[in-house]
Amino acid sequence: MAVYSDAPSAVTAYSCYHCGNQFQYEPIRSMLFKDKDFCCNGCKSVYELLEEKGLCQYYQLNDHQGQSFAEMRADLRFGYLDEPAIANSLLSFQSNERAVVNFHLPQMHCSACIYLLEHFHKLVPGVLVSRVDFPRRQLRLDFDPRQLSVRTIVETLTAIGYEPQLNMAVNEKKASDKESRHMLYRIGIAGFCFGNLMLLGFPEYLADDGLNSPMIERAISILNVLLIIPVVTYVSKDYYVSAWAGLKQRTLNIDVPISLGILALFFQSLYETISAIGPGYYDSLGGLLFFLMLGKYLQRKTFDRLSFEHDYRSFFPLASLRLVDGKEESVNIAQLVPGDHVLVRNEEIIPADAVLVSDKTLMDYSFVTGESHPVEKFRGDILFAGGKVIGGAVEAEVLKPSSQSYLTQLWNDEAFKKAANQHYQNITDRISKVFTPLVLSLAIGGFIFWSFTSFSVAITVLVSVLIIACPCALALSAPFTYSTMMHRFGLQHLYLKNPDVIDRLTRIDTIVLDKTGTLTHTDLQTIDSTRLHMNEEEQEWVKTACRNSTHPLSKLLYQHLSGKGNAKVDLFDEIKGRGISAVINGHAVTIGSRSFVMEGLPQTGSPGLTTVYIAIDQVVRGYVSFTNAWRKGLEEAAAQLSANYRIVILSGDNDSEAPRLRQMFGAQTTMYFNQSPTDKLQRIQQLQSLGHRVLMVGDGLNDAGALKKAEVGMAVAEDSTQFSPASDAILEGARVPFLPALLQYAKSSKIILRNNLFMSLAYNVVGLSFALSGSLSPLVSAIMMPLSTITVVTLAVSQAHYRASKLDKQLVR
Amino acid sequence: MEIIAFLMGVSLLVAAFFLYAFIKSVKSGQYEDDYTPSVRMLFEDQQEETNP
Repeated sequence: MAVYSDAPSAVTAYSCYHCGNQFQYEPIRSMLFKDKDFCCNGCKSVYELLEEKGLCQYYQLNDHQGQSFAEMRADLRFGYLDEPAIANSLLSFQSNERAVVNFHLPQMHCSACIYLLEHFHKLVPGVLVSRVDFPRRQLRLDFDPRQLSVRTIVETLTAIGYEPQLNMAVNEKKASDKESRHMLYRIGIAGFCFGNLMLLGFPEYLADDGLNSPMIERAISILNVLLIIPVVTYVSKDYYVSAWAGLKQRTLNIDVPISLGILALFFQSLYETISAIGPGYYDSLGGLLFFLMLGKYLQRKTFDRLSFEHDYRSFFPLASLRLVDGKEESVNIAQLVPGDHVLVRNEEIIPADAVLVSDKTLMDYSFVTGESHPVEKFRGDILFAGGKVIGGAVEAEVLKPSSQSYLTQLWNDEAFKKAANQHYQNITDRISKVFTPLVLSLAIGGFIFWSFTSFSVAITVLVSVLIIACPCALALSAPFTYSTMMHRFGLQHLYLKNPDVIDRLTRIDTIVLDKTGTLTHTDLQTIDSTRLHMNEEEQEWVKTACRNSTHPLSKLLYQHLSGKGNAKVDLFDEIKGRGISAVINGHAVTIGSRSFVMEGLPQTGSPGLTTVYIAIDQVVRGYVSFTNAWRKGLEEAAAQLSANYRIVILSGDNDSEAPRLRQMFGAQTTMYFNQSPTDKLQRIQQLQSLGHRVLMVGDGLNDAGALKKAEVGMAVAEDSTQFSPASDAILEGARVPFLPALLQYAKSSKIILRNNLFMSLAYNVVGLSFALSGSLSPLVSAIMMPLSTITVVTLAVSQAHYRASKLDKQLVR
Repeated sequence: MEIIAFLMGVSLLVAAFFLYAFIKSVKSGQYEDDYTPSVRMLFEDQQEETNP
């Protein structure tokens, strides 16, 4: 695209009406709506489209900035969707006049997005219904397949800024849905029974002689039994199953005493009812199960919209273009075999390890390594699967099937499979290991002791010990504490896969850090321009050329150079992925990659760095190199972390930053450079075999193995909707320096749980003394059991909130 | 006193109805997305909305 223009005399900042981006060049104005500025034709077209369909309410709702659109065009990239087999694999329902497709749209971020997407049927005729599930970032579209193809839908969505994530994992239905429904049924049924049992138990407390009506008392007893049956069967089923599974493996888990408590309470009540000696503990039992179910539900509630289980399939495309006798055909990437020639176009992902057949290309490995600068590749070079092509289409010959690529082979690694099956003992399990045998031996001991004097007293003692010692408070305090903490972590942009992760975080002693993309920004860079020699006038020309480019490196160079950047532009041409060639003030200015600026220029910059060469009037003036900037506040964080943990740094890059890292993290830090994904996995394994418990913090697919292998794998993402490899936690990039404070908060869970444990033990001791003295009146136990539950839950939640508010204060700087 | 037995039956029935409604609402997926409907109801031009 060549643009001839006179630069304006002063730099004015404009703000795009559509996407809100700030820009400094001449705004594009619509023919119809002259008062609005747009940063590009894409934004203008979307605005005009929305205006025409009367959907401008979008802009009133849009309080954040909107989606920025590169270009509005028929997208060649989605050509493979014309292949019926591939298009149909996306549909969840299909008939002659109706088809249903679900898309994952990670770009959705505000209510305006919902508005626009739910009015999609107005934009595209043939769409029957569009429904957004915002927490999951999903769009369900019902459309008429006679009028509309999947490809058109995908292209339109992409054009308005919501490019669907199309990948091999898209059709895997969430299995957790069914389970969480059952959880809700259980809460509903437990609540129903609990409420009614409370009501039916009410007359019992009124007077010593009850209602004085044997008929009604019998009716109440029968209703009590009827109402408790679903509670001890359907609602508590999971406890029996888990206790039995534990016993079969010869372990006494927390569910054993809970199950025994439930059953003891049930049979004791049944016995009292049948022999008409008392009212039983039906309401207590109902309440107990209701609260236990609530706790379980909270524990299950996770960050639904985030996916922690990505494997390589959710990253790779659905299909690839195979060249057969010079003709292109779309094939599923699983069908690619070594020797196939594939055509990969701009912005597409290399589907399998391959050898470049075309002359040269630029590869963006940011998803793989976190490194944001594209790398130049030449004919015969190996392109690793997962890299993104920048620039023109390239042809490559497949070396290995997709599933055995350099990166994806990690998923076939033996150690990796074992890691997935690793059973983890959480804090409740650890406590119950001591607690359960204690309670059981106390109950049996009491039973044996009393059976010498009276068998019926012995039975009573056995049952009441089991009832009172039922560790419901213990079973409840952990889920309530952890789920509150998980919520507070979420507010700090640390998202945890499940509450167990908090417990594991408290136990780590070693932190393994990736460098690029984790300790450094992925985008912002610092410039080293010591090898650049230009006078002020020349700087002014280069600055002017940079001003006309939107490329991130041009923007950085623009900020770095002195001058105003207002020289006269005679000719400007930007070649995507290569550089700028312009004529400024009558002088030819070339800025870009080595081979672009001058063919055969010797490599001078260090190979790990991104280097931009500058030539004026065909004379090379030198180069500037860019390095990733360290994250803000990292130094402080590094000092705190290395004071409390053993730090290991694993980097795929060269060791040029080693001295700086050592200065920040201290001399005792272990560092490894030039690490392959498998190396990283093995380093973690090595540390674990030495008895260390490891937290791995990293981004990119090359850390995937290490993230999965470590006790806690924390993926760093610039934005939580962005792709991140399988992990236990997702941390927003800018929050990496907050890691010490966040770990501190996770550690405070130990104190909270200890306090709660003390509380519930106190209850148990008081209760047991009542039980052993033989004066356990139904009134006392009926009041004490729900009361202890509620106290413990309230205490857990309020402590977690209190500590979190301290954390918040610490983090607001 | 018989009236109490009657009342108990009625209250149980009412509660059972709510339990039924709750289970029905879970089954229909109302608890799966608890955010979007709250935004959807604020959009103004709803005259053409077609619900599945």
